[in-house]
Amino acid sequence: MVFTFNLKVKVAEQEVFEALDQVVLCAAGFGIDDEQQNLLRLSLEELLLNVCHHSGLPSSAVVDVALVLRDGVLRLTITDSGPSFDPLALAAPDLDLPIEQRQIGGLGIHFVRSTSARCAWQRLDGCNVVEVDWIIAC
Amino acid sequence: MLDIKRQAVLGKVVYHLQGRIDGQSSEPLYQQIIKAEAVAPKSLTLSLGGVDFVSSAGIRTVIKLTRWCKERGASFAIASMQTGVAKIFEIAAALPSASVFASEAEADAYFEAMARKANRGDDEDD
Repeated sequence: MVFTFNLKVKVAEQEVFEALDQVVLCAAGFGIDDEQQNLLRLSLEELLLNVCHHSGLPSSAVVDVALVLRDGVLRLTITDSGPSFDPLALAAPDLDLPIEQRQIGGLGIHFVRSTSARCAWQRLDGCNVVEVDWIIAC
Repeated sequence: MLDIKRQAVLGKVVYHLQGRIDGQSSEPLYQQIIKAEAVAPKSLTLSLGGVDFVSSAGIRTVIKLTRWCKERGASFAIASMQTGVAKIFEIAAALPSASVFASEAEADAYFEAMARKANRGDDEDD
């Protein structure tokens, strides 16, 4: 059985948060448990807000979000038409520093990397395509 | 969506939070706290028993509150975290072990002990 869900989201914060609820609700419909739903929400929020804040795209631009559950793998794919940029190549934050001395940024992509089984970026047909996979216990 | 309740007793302030601390709710939460605590409390505790999701924006808010308290000489604690939320803090290595407690009562006992210790120190100085 393959489950798929596709959504177009405008590059605006309010739209992003509405989309998060829709995608997570859809994952629940796929039978994904609460813990995995939270990991999905975590990565999706980070990646979509990254496009909102850093891509330079206008708020009228649209990002494609796809969620597919196939053979025990849940794959999130986010496609935007902004300038070429690999968010997954960002340096990891220094987690050894006491939290009072930490830089505030950089945690989001660390979460995407740390909580997924695989994440990858490619430039395809003039778009940034980010894929994040999780292994789903059946 | 995040519900916020504030409880203050003898300079000890506890925020009971319920919902998600995410990119939408985290900055309003921070602003609400620093406005409400114009006079720095002795201690500030975030009680997260009702919080089922924290994103990096939420972690950043906790880091900012940790700094804000330190600058004002206030103790800061997190209490009653759900397992999934604790896991996110662990991944971020954002759990200062001295100020994370299983319950508000445990946090309260710690602050009381610290206050007694500080008072003894003051007495010895006299």
